Amino acid sequence: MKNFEERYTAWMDGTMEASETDAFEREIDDLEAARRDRADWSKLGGLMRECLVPEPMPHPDFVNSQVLDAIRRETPAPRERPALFPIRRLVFGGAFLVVLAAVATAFLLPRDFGGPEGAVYASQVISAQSPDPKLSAYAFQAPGGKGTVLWIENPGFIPAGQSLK
Amino acid sequence: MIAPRAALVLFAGIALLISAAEGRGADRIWTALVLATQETPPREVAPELEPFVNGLKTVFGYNSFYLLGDKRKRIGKGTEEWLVPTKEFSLRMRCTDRDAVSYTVALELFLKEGVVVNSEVKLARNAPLYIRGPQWGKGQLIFILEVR
Repeated sequence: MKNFEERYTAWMDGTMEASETDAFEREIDDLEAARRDRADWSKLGGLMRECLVPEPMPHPDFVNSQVLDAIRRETPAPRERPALFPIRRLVFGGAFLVVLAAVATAFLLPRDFGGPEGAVYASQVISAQSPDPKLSAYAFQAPGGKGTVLWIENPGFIPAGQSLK
Repeated sequence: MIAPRAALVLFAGIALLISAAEGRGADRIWTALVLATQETPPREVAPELEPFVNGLKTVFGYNSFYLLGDKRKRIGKGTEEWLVPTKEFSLRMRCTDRDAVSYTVALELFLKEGVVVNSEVKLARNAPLYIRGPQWGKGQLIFILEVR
């Protein structure tokens, strides 16, 4: 709901709707004086519109550019928001992780076979056959150690005079 | 644009990673050809054979051992190696598999262009395999294979 001053201003400006105007005029104590004020106000407005013609601005583009420069100079530069993952940080992070992985691979993972620590495994002969029926081969564990022997019966003879080199 | 320092760190990290990975899989197989003889007095043993002397003496009954040749080679699945002391006598070994504790190796011993024996063995680390080879003069040829 508009107050009296707002409605009075609208009535003076002639922007009040016709349906409201009659009701509003009944509220005014001295309607004749108010109508005179409205006429004076209307006349004054007309005179102002006629007399106060805005003078065109000389070199408007130059002025605009000067104004814009002044605005830029006086406006503090907005702080750049740091990127969450800048390229440089990603590169350094990646390189660091690679080095870390290499160190972990070299020093933390066991270099030995995957067997239990301290376990001793012996070599095994899974199979041994000879196409020559006169030859035979068998395997056994060397006494007192982890060694395994592949023993070939009658494996052949090389004369002592024949060089091995 | 990557800064040179960042690129250097990245490169160093990758190199370290590769070397570490290489190091982890860097098991080697040591193969040796030994001549065992009976001599009075017994001959000194090559330093490389010292860890094996007691076992060799017990198993083969000789008291002197000569290291005729040895090789050390990285071993992995698919590794193939030939030991060829002479044209008529050779040992071929091929790594066919690997598990947590051993390498599976196929062996073929040749003598005079014929196969003397075919064998499949599992070589555990630091557990030598002795193969009794042919006689050479008065001595006995022995192959030693060990994963290190």
